[in-house]
Amino acid sequence: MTDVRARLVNLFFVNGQLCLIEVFSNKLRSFISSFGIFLGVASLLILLSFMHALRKNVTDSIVAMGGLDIITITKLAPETNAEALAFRRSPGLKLTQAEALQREIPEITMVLPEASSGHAELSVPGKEARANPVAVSLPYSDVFNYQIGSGRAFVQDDFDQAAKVCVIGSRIQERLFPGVPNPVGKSLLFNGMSFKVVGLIYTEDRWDWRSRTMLYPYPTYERYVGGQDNVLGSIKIKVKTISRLAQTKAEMTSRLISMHRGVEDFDVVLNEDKIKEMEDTQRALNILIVVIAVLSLFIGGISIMNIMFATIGDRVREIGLRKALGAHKSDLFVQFLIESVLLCFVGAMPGMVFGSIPTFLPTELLPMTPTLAAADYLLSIGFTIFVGIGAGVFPAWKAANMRPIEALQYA
Amino acid sequence: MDIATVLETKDLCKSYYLGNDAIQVLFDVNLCVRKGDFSAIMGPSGSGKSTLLNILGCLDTPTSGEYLLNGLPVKTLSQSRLADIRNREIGFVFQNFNLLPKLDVFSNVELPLIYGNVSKKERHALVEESLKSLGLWERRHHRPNEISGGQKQRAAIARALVKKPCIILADEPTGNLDSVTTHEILELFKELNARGNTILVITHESEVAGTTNKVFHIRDGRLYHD
Ligand SMILES: Nc1ncnc2c1ncn2[C@@H]1O[C@H](COP(=O)(O)OP(=O)(O)O)[C@@H](O)[C@H]1O
Ligand SMILES: [Mg+2]
Repeated sequence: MTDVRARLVNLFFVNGQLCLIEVFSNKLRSFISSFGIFLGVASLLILLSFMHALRKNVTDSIVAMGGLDIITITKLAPETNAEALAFRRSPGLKLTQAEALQREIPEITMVLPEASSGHAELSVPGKEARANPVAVSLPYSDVFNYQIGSGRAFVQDDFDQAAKVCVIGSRIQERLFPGVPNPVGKSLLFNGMSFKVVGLIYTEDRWDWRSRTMLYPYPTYERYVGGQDNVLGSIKIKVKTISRLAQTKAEMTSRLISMHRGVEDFDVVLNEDKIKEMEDTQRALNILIVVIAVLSLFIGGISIMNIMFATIGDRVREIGLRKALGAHKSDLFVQFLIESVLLCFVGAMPGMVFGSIPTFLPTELLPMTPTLAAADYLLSIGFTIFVGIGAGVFPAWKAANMRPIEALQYA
Repeated sequence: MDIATVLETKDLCKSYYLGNDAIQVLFDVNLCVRKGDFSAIMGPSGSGKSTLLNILGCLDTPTSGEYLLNGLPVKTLSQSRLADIRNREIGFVFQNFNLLPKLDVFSNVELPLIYGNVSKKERHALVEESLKSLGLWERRHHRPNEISGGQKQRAAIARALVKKPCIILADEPTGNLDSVTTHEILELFKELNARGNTILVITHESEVAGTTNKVFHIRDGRLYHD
């Protein structure tokens, strides 16, 4: 038993020490030959950190989309002249149509009109900010998980009076009210009218698109912003039964077509489809990352294998001597395998440091917040060991199977 | 065969094959070394000395004939057993020392103990004993390139002795040394033999052979007894 233990200790630990001496006495050569691993590990970690950031963005927007029970009707823009002509027959998307749908289809529990003005300028005397003003309905913040950081959310009164009030995201606040962390009560100009800030939208980081959003009550849009015909950009509809989404969608579509005089100038989209689309993109990204990581580590592994063969060629006499002193095949096999793995780590360690840089950059510099977890480092360590073993097996096998006499006589 | 016989060969032949040509290097070598012997095999360069020693050291195999080490027929042994035998029973000393340049004297001497799976504590004690008996303990942290040729060969001898092998095989151990150092190493071998070590030296110098108790001559692959 103690024999087996001593054997294992010597096989791995003492041989490992000998390899450390070998690898570190050729620092430059070791680093150059493991440069491919350095690049592989660094790019793996950089990609992973950005992937996490993207994933978080996707999760955030799924939350902001308000769950699976939401159906969105959006106005379509005509693509051809014929379409433009046909679309003119339709009255366009109107809140009254959605309210009619709610009366006719019991599955619909809530109608949330939404009017987005695209990008618009907000201003205070001397300062301007680009923003996304969106006119929303009252239950908006509950359904779409908006959180109010300070101040208040909209109340029924704002809607009843079509009040010129708004809640704004942090980047708008930074631009228009620098040095005023809580601008509740201040006013800003939108569309030539003065709006009072009543609340701030809470966002975890400034790259969240909601930090550039300005929300204001839908009735205010109808009265002051939207013009006479009150055509809407989109309407969100909340339904009762998720399992009947498809039927509800079909029913809504056919009724809307008849309301639009047979013209299909709108699109009905399920949140489910949007989520699926985002998940497909995610999956494609994951595959891309795996392919890049495997490729670069494979190439790194080849240069390690190359240098290991060269090392063994340089050290034939040493191999012969070790055999003359009683080394078993397994001793030499393990020695060169450990050496190969260590060589990989010479590149992998700085690669891990380099690959972590994006996570330390100030958040202003990047459009997202890359993060790395312990599992990512474990993954790169695992990859490194795997590549080290893969690249070292053949050279180590060759060394282990040299005939002692031929190795010793080698000039 | 009595217990005191360390190694014995019977009609040992060795041929090298180059393509289809066989070149016979050793012809019917019959050699016997007993415990406590200090013998030399002397012959000119190219006579087959190293070839014979490598076979005796289980680094190479004979083409025909018998080789018994401590009564064991070597050709029946597996590669792994041969590694064990090289580790335990045989101490090699080479003409060019064959110390690993990146390890210090201590670690070089320690190597056979590592391959013999000796524990760290025991390794330390054995290396210390071996280095002290050869007067190299003070030099234990020096690399091979930081010590003289004579010290290198003494380190190599310390390495050969550290596992207390039943025989020390030395291939031209003084071939790379000046005459003063040669004398020093030969005195050392004498002293080691006096302490009970069995030593077989091969050489082409008569001075070296003259130090030993028993001389075999080898010429064109044939061994002649004195
Ligand atoms: N690996 C080998 N292949 C072919 N011929 C060899 C080999 N090793 C040695 N020889 C030949 O065998 C003969 C004896 O060599 P060696 O045993 O080294 O002699 P010594 O040690 O007495 O100088 C020489 O002629 C040498 O050329
Ligand atoms: Mg020779």
